[in-house]
Amino acid sequence: MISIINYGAGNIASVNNVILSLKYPVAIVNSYKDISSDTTSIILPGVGDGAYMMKQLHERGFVPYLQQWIKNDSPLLGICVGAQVLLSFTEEGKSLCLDAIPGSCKSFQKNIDRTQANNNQIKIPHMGWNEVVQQASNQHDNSKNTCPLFSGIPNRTTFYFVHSYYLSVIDSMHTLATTKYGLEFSSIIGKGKIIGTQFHPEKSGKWGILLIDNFLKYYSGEQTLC
Amino acid sequence: MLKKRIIVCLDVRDGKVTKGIKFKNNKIIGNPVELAIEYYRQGVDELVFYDITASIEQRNIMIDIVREVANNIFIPFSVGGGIKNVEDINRLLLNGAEKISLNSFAVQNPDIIDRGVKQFGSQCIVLGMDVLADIRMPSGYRVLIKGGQETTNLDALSWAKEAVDRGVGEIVINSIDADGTQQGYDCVITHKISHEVLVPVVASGGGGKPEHLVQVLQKGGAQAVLIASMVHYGTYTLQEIKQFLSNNGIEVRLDY
Repeated sequence: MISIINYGAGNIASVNNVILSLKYPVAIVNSYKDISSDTTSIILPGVGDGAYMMKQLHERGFVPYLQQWIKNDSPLLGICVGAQVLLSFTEEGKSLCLDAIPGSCKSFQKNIDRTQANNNQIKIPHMGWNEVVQQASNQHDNSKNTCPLFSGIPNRTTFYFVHSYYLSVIDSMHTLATTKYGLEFSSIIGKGKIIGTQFHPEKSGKWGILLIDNFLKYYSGEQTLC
Repeated sequence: MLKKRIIVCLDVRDGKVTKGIKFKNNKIIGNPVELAIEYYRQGVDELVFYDITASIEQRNIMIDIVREVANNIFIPFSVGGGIKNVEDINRLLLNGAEKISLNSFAVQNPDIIDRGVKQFGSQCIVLGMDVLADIRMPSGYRVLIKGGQETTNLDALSWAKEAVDRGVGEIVINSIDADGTQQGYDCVITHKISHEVLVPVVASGGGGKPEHLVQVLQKGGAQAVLIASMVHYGTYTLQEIKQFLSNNGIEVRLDY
């Protein structure tokens, strides 16, 4: 069973529709009590404000459950603000986060060198389709040199972004893909079976659907990943 | 780098897609869900649905359309037209819309912007504005509302800046003079506003040939364009348009 966490904000309908179209059993959970015991993967979609999302996750009792899930390295896919809360801290609202992957969420406005961004052409939010550059696999085992998350997805494929804050990890091994917008930032982060995408795969056409399918297919098993 | 976006606009009246010229003489084009699926397959980057239905009873048809579209396409789409309160916004977003567009009601009650942004986030709230060239205004352009039928005392540039201060995440500038004429976008007002605001700006009204898109995306400083007549009448396919843009040095999404 795939469980989609609903913390009360944002558009979970689209993620639900994608997973239904891929024919996986899926449930939207509104409270930590509703997470079924046969849950194999958790999807954490988020929009809006990172601090607000953390506050809602706390109030609805999701945090202890998620922290245990993360401790067990169980499959978890955070999307957009859901990826941002996987880090240690977010500048948006200045909040501590789930700390699944060491790093922090930073502001484009504060960090893009605006003397290079002429005439307000680097707009905020970063909104639209941008290229996702897959990092070389960090596997020591040379027999497998492609991260299964990218199985069948060409390098530099475009995905749909809409955000004003970006992911920044401490250990570069946790950056699975990068994107350029005024500066280079991590567009996909990952540690074990815990993955975060800054873009919205559920709004990124066929390649986004494939990425979600790859996560659900390859991240539930026992094999070590990128 | 970030690609420029090509967005197809679908005006919906009584559950059917129609197209007019300067907001008059609407002709029926087809079924909104079928058209959405077709444009999605053709590689459109986003869609916008404007509910131009006159009566309130027919508004519920829009929610059904939104739900059906969200079940079938997996790219962002926005909805606008007659949105007056936070409940309207919530229903549309819950049913699968990515963004909602505020226009006439926001001019008369601007705090709907603040409330929408506070509850749902800037990325969901788009300002739609209809503008008419008017030399009496400081920017040279006046804001009109109610489908261009009612005039206001608002200057286009100051209204855009105020809306951004209140938190809108994107601005769609529709030129009433150009709308449906297929003679090109108004690059002047598009550039004026894009130069002054930090949020993405979408040009709307007048797209007739791919050259027009090149102009407004380069000289006009727009991050995206709305097209309607060009594709609804079958004059161009999205592939032709995108290929033309790419050949003219404009980065667009081609990997759909």
